Amino acid sequence: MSENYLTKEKIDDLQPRKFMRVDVGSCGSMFVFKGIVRRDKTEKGFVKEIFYEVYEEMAENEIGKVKHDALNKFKVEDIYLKHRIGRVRVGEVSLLVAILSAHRKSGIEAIDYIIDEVKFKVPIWKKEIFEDGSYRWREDNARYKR
Amino acid sequence: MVAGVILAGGGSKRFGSDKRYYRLNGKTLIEACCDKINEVCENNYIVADKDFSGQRSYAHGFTVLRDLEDGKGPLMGVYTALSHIVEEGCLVIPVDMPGLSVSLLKYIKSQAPLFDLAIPSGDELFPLPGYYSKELLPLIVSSFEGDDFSLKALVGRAEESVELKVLRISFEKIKKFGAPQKVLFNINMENDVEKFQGS
Repeated sequence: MSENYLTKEKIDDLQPRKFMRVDVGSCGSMFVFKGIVRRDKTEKGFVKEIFYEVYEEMAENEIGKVKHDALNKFKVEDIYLKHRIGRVRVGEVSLLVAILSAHRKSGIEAIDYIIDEVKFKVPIWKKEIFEDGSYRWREDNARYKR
Repeated sequence: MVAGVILAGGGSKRFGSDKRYYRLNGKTLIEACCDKINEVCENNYIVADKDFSGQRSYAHGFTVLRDLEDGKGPLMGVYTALSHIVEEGCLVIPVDMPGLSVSLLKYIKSQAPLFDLAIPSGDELFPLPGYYSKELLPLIVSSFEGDDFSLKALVGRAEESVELKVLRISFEKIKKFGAPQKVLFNINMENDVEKFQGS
């Protein structure tokens, strides 16, 4: 059965280790990254929540590819990844990435790579919703020049 | 269900030769379009003018439709397709956008159940590639009655209609499927090929 990377449920308290292949003895490092929605102050006021719009069919595949590529590219043992979709309030976790590896360096490199790839390649879009109810689409895909 | 449609009409006057058969990266522009639309839709059509040389091997399984009226531009091509297809609408691509990504086309197609018209829109409006539903037919007919053959104008009129749902797909969204200036690059003149390759 293929893994589901997207969820509408809260992921704040997920324990990734429960879902990973922990080879006791060979893994000397585990990194867990949690991306949290910030209460950014903008010209439109404070961010209250972010709505993550997704093209689900493709997003699941793309995240799977990112994971597969990272497993091939870096010396890591296992990767666990969950992305929230829909409304995510300030302070809640929107992205969780966990990496098990023999040594810390490859884990750090892999985590950085995965976050960038997910951000730029996966069809998930962020709509910032402000305290007054107004909103704007977040522009943070700087990889392509306009 | 959504049909796939390649608009392959037009005289290529500015290009200098028939650009449908211009070879880029080993494939003619029309061949590349057929390959892409085959990956996205099952029932596929080529809408062309009287000069189109007919069925070729790369278009195996495609139905070739002749523009209902020649020389009236892409809106006539869209109208011709919508008048023939049995599906509720069609994903329409122009023959001269070699950078179109299959992932973008799949995304546009995925909007079909929600919208009557879905098109890219950044600093300017791109009426192609787009999803066009049969619900647009009366509006297209009334455009023709007003001697208006502009696809862009149709989008504006559809947005004004309370009955039609229109989606403008922002460049922010398109960036996930490739650089907008590349995926939406339109080849009109021969030196556009060089610009496209450098984009």
